[in-house]
Amino acid sequence: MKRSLTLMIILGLVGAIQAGQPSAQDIVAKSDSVINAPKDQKAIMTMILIDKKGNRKRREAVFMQKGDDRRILRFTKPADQKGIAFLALPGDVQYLYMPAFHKVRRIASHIKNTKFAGTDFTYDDMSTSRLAENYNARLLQEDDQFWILKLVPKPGVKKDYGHLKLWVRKDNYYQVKIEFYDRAGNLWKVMERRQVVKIGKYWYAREMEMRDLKEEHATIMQSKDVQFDLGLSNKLFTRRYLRRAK
Amino acid sequence: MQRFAVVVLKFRIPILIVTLILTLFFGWQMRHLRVNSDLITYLKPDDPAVQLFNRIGEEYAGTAMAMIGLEAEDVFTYDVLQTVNRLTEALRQLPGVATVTSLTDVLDIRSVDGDLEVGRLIDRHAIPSDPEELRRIRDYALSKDMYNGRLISSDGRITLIIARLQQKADKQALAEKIQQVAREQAPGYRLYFSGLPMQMVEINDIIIRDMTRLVPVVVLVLIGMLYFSFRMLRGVALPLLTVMISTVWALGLMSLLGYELTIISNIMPVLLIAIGSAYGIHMLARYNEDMRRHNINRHDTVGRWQSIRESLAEVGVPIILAGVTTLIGFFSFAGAYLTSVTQFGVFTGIGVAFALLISITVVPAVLAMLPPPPTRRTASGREANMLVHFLDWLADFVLRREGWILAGSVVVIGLAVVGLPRLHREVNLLEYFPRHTDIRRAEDMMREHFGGSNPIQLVVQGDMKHPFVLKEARELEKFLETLPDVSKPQSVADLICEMNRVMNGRYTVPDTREGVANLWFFIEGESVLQQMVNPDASEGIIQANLATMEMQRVRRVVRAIDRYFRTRADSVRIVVRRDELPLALQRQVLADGIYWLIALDVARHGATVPDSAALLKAILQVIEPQDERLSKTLISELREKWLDFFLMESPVEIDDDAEVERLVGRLVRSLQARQIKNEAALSRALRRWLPRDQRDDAGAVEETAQIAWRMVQELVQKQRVQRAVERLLALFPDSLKQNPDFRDDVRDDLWMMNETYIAVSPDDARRAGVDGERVRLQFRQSGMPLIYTRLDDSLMRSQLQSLAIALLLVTLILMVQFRSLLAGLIAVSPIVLTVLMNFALMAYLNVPLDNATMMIASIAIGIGIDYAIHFTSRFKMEFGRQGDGRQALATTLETTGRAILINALSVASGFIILVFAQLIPIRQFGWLTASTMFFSAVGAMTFLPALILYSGDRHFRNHGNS
Repeated sequence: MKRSLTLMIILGLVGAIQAGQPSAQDIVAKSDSVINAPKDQKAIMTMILIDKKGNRKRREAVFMQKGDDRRILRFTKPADQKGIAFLALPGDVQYLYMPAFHKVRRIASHIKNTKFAGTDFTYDDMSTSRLAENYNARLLQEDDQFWILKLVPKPGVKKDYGHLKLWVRKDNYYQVKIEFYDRAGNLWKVMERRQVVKIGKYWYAREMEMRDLKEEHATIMQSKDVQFDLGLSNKLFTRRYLRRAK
Repeated sequence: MQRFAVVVLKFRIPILIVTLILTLFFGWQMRHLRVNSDLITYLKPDDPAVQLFNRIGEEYAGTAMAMIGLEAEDVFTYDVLQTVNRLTEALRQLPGVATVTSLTDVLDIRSVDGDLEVGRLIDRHAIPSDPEELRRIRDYALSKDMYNGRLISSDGRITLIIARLQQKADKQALAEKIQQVAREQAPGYRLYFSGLPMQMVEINDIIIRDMTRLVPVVVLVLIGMLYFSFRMLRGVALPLLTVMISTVWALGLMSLLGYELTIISNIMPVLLIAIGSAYGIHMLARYNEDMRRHNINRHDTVGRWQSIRESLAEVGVPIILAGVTTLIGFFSFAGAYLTSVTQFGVFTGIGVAFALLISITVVPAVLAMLPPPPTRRTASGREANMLVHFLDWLADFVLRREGWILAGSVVVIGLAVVGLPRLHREVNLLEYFPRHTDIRRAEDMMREHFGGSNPIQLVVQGDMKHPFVLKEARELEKFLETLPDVSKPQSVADLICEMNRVMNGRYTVPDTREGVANLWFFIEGESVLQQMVNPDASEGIIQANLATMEMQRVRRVVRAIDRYFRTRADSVRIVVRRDELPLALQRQVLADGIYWLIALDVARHGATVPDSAALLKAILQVIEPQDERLSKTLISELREKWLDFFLMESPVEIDDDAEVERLVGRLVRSLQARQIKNEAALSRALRRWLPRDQRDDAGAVEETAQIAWRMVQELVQKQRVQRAVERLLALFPDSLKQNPDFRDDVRDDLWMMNETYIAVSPDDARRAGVDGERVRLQFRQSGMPLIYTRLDDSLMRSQLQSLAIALLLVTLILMVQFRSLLAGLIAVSPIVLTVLMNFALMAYLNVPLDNATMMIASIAIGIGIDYAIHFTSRFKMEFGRQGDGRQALATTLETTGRAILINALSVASGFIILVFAQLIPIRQFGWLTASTMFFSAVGAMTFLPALILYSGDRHFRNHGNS
């Protein structure tokens, strides 16, 4: 009995290795790295907010990212929000610049669960994708196209979500869909990355949608004029630059 | 009538069969009948005030609020907060609940290390358990106006969980569900349920309890009355059958047509049972009388039929008349402000018509199939002796002492008229509940700790992101706080102000659109915004609490707000740069604006401006621009700001910290020495003192100078206001001077002098020849209290209207019936007296005119007139038969008088049962209506004959019987 169990485990392991099957955690880590692959990037981003009744609001921002942990987002539309800028730095440090008051404000760490600028993305969602770092993954199922994984926050990691369900494309390890479940296990939000194309050597989703099922609200983010590896300086990702640029 | 009687007797079998089928049919329909206690659905949907109210309910989920109060030793413990959280989450899941606000899910605007932070008061995913942390949250929550008195009582013992319901939700069912969820999720806590939807649940429960309890009692009383009067089975069974069938038909028809029972129409069954028996009683009484008179033999079918025909022919006309007048009494409610009153009137009227129809068809049809009644125990029965003796005595008294009766009546009328002005109205729903009920207790708690449970809404129509629209809204809120019974006004302007306070140290709306937009950015997408502004921010809501529902007080508030809208709130403002205005106008507009704000704040703190001329003068002085030197504290504040700025943010980059410190030191010293007096001087100083590599970038230097100088300006402005505050506070009594809130208020009011933009009236702008942005805005009032005032206004109108209609029609009918104007007037006089008595009784006993009691007068006319009709009809007939007025009166009193007495007693005893109802208006309605039945019967049997004797009997001379 004991022997047969051991045998089975060995056989299983051998099987997995032979099939070249990566572990669930590896899939997630790999997919994170695909999303964060470009050294830096710059794009013009349009955010479309859609409420319950289908009313749409648009805003536009210039977006820059360096590595996987420096980001800046500067609003250009609507006119009365022009100049408002958001900066995310390593170590969960975030700032907001308010041109009307000529002031830079730090965003405290514990409000990261609140919505960013009326979108369905929280400040947390707006920071970089590091799923493997924060979640334990388990493969739920797979088909020809996708791995579907269940992600549970690692012990000690505080998240609003009870678990996530992640769709990763098998051909390019791109995260195309995430379902966010609340702690009671109800589906809460759905994020989809669409129009996934290869630009230069990187895979990139031109459109991203986040739908909040509880609030019946959705946000679509579309990117255009995407550029990669521009050699952006760290100086662009500072409070000084946040305030300065028009 | 003879012909009708023949037809009835001929088709007696089909009549019974059809009746049976109809009863089964309507009985089956009744299964769908339900009670709708949603007051809002009673309101006339075409009234603009109601339309606005409904629109607010729909767009902002602002009108139907179900509130749960949870009481504990201390709300700020892990267990309680966890319970609140569980409950909040559970309520949110209920379909029809738009939003839920509670301590564990409420927007919080706070300052953390000087930075603005918009988040939640308590993170619902990490409810703290550390006592230290809990204490901190408690102190913080209690210190803030946003929570104290809104979500948490100031003693920290009661917290509210507020569910806003969607307009189209079945609010009553939902409120019931909410109560159930609350009991499940928060066992062991004392719970209070408050708000209109909760009241509906309670009303509904009470209505159903009342119905199931009272209807059987009324039926029993009726049986008793009938048995006592007739002493035989058919005497009990036939009238009882009549009312039951007509009630089933009326309710079945209601259900069939898709109507629901309401707070008002729920008394229909009791009413119909009480009233509907009358027609059967008169039919039976006459039948018995005729049978006795003709001494019909048991087997004399022909004689029996002949007798029934005769009874029906003679009593049929007065019965129909009586029925039609009652019908008119009820139909006169059609067109009342509350659709529920209209429905009640119409369907009760229809029910009466059914009872009437059954009494003159089914009752004779059944009688025709029964043997004649046994004669032995009726006329000479010992038990009946008392009644007969009484009637004899009464006849004797009335016939001999008509003068006394008339004189007495005049005295009574006089007293009644004197009392009338005391009559007052009340449409306050809460007054419906007896004091000890849970809902009253919940309301008392709400009033004590949360400024009441009655939300009022003021609609602001204008660009809600425009600083000057928000400023006007904020001003209106200040004004609201000066009104008695109004508290906690809140709108998006307060969120903006609060964020500005945290960020810039003043509770004001920024004077630029960008300023507002930058702050708005933080709350964008917050669900609380949906309750405050519409999606394109072209309209907003100011919500406040009203502590009272007492009509006079509500009316005072409504009028004051209206007056404010007319006199103070401008619909068009011109926003201009202040420095574009001529100096004199600048001063005047600014001083007036500041004066007005301060006056509002003084009033808000319950005081008055001691010397308005002195205050205005002081304001004019402090707003004069002066050359200011920064105080020591502000200098060191500037030093800190500049250090951080040059280190982290300035366009010019100095990498060396010591270098930065040296530069800032030099700049500060120059500033103090007045060597730097403006931006240009600062720019020159920078170019001189910056490290060489940084001087060259002219753009960066300019920009740095600009920002750094703005920092100086801000501190100068702050100082000017600080000094002005001291100067102005000196004018106020100590109680205000030492009130830190008032000090802050004055500081915020004075901030206006630092603002670049100012709003002036179009006239001022034209006179000054300046052009600016035209800002339009308009305020409107809404909310249940306002609706109540509409209701109150219309109450008197519909009361008078229905009274006039009923009286007019009834008089007309009587005039036609007697073919004499005077006879008609005489016949109608006892009921006029009765109505007067009713109002006098209400006035003297302090019973308010409300939705239920307002109906009494018209009902009294409809029902009470019956006695006069029966009396005068009989009198007219007897007069024709006997030729002598007195003799005819005596006979009428002894015969029809008996039926009237039985009738009045049975109707009155039906109504008197309503005093056991739980809703107060229904109780009052019950005993008042019972008393009007008594008055109208007594009036018909005393005042009426006395008047006939007094006025001469010729008006009743027979013109040939119909």
